[in-house]
Amino acid sequence: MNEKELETLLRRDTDLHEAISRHEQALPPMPDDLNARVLQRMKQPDAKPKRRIWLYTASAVVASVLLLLLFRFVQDTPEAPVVAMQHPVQPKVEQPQEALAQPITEVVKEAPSATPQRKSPVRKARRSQPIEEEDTLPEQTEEPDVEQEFVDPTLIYFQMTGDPVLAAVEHVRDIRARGERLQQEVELVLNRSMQSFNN
Amino acid sequence: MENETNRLISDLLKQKRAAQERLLVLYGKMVFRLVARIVPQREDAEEVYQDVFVKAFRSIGTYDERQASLATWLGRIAYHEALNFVRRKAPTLVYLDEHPKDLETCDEDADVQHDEHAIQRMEQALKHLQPHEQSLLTMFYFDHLSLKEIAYITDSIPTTVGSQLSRIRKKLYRIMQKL
Repeated sequence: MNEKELETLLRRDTDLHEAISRHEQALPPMPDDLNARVLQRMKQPDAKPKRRIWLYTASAVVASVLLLLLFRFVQDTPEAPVVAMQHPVQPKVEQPQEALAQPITEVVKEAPSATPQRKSPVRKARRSQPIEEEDTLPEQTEEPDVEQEFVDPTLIYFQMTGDPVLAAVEHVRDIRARGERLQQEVELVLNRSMQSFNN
Repeated sequence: MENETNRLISDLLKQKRAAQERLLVLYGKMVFRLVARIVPQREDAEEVYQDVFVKAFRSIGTYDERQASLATWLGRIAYHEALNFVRRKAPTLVYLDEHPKDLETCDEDADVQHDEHAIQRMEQALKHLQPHEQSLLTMFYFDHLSLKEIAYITDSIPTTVGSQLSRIRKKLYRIMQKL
């Protein structure tokens, strides 16, 4: 039986045709305002995509805030950056500038002299405990002790500048300056040791 | 008539509101009937109806008059939107007479009396068919669509539609015997 024949055969079922017609008439009529609702909906662009974009944006912001908080929490724990622990900073604004300037002039003044001279008091940052034990500079005994209270240097710079990026830059600069100072002190000690040995 | 349809399609492509209103007036009832056959709840049927026309307005550029008429093209969108909605929302229902073996032995002409009582029983039996089965029968017997048009709407081929209609008829008569 081909397609046409089958179609003809099926059409012969008038009872089924009648039953379906009655079944169709029992369906609810179309509401009068339905077409108006369709046109109204066409006026408004898709709300769903915008809602999704808003949702994604909000989720991204929340996730960023949580990450920042978590990062800050991690930074505040004692186990985190060792560098920050090694170089506690005095809570004074001028300190970094003074610390930068003095040691260089000190070294320049010290170098030509052969005899060991009393070192003028210089504010020095304390190192962490293990390194302090190894330090054997007798000239430092008369220097005023720097407070060993640890303060987060980044926080101090942030309070000074109000900008976290700038605070981080200043902190890095401070660390670098301290490193140079330490290097100079070591060189000074070595020079003195060599001089005393030669003598 | 053809010029009017072409003009309507041209205006729909330009997203003209008047053309959209015209399309709703011309084919709205047909689409609503098709949707309401498949989606049982009225509110859901109205929602699907809106989805159908929104989709039609946005995808009018894909309509090819060589494949089907505008009514058939809309019917295709409506059929698939309604079925997708039902599949997403409705739980899996168990329908009577799901065993094809019984259908093969059924001889509908011998067992059924062609009278008013039979027609009433047939109406009751229609409710026990699956939504897409009801829809196929209705498109063929009530809308008087050809097998080719139904095949386009259901994304099938005419031979398959013919076989499905024959099977659904047998199933219907089997259900009538059980009622």
